[in-house]
Amino acid sequence: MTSTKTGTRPQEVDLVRRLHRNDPSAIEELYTTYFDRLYSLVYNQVDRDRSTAEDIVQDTFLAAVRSSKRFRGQSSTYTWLCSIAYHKVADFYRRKASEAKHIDRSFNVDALESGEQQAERVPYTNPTDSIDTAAVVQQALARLPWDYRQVLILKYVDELPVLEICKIMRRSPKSVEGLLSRARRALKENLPAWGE
Amino acid sequence: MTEEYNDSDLEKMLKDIYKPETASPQFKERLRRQLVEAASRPAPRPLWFRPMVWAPVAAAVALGLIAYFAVASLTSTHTVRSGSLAVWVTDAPGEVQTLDVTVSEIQVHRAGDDSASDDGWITVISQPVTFDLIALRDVQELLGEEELDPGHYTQVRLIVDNVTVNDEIEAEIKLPSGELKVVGQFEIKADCTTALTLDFDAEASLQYTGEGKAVFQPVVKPIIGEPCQEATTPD
Repeated sequence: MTSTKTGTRPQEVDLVRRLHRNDPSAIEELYTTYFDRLYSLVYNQVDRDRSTAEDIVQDTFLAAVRSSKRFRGQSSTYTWLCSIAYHKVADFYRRKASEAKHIDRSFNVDALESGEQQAERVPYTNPTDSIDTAAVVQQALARLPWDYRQVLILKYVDELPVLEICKIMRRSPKSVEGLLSRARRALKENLPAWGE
Repeated sequence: MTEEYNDSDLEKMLKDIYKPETASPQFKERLRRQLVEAASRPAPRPLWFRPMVWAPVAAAVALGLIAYFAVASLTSTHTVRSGSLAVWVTDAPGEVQTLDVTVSEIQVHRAGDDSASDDGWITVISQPVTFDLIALRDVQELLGEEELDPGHYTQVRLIVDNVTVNDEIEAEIKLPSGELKVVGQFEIKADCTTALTLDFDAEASLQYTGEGKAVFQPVVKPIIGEPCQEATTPD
């Protein structure tokens, strides 16, 4: 998680109030306070594609400015921005999927569930220590459905509480917990076995 | 001996992969300038006062219902599978500047459950969601998502609370009890994703009276995808 600070509740209430008035200083504050953290999140959400991340972050802030009057401050400002960005990330993956003539089997949940990929599991040294870990984990993550990766990033990388993730993904707590559980299980199944 | 990964292993691996990233200074500066410009730009004159401009209003809106089913338990202790339902919205070109629709609830009807206490209606979204159909041009927005049991579903019901045109004109909603029912049969299968898109014809949905009032009477066509397919944007 990045160390970029976010505002306290009273500061956020004040920020929302000023955004509603279309106060230029509020927009500047919105940008300076949240840009770094949001950019880092989106960059990871789109598989570290800098160009796509820039497009989505730009669209997110412009959409936020346009729709700020409709933001009632019921969630934190960062959650609000994440929610806008999340939908744009979802659009990105949907366009990507529709552009492809066929869906790569690596994105196929059925394949994950059928255990086909378990056959590839081989004994391995502790992956948390290996220099090859990054490549192995990246391969495992690439096999996950995109929404599995999103919920894992929001929970473990951006360290957002489940209730905030609910607002971002517009799911119920039960649904987010279920998605997290399935994502963790699928990732574990995609990682090579490791032992002594 | 093979050990299982625990959550802290996963967290460490994920943090190693998804490290914090900094944007280029050029991009940061460019975006900062764009935002300053956007903030200083005066609000455009509402088209509401120029009926000749918006007269040929044409917009298309889609609400998608995507049901995701829970990944089957890979362990021997199998539990009942459930899925989840995602609602998406998109738009089509038009000359109205904003068309905010607030939906307070979305329900689906499962076939054969008519005798149940809820008459077979299952609430999939219970939080009010407001979306601007015009801002969603060429894109879709996820309205919400909820888990559902596998089965045969026959209808979708949306509670439309409010429709506002150009941030200022509250449209009259012409729906019995504010409810929009759409008949569309779709299947939810275990471990599969089924997409149901409700294609709103905004041009036909939004009417104007001679007194400068707007009336929103949704015209909707359901588009049902095959199980396990992604939702697609309506043409």
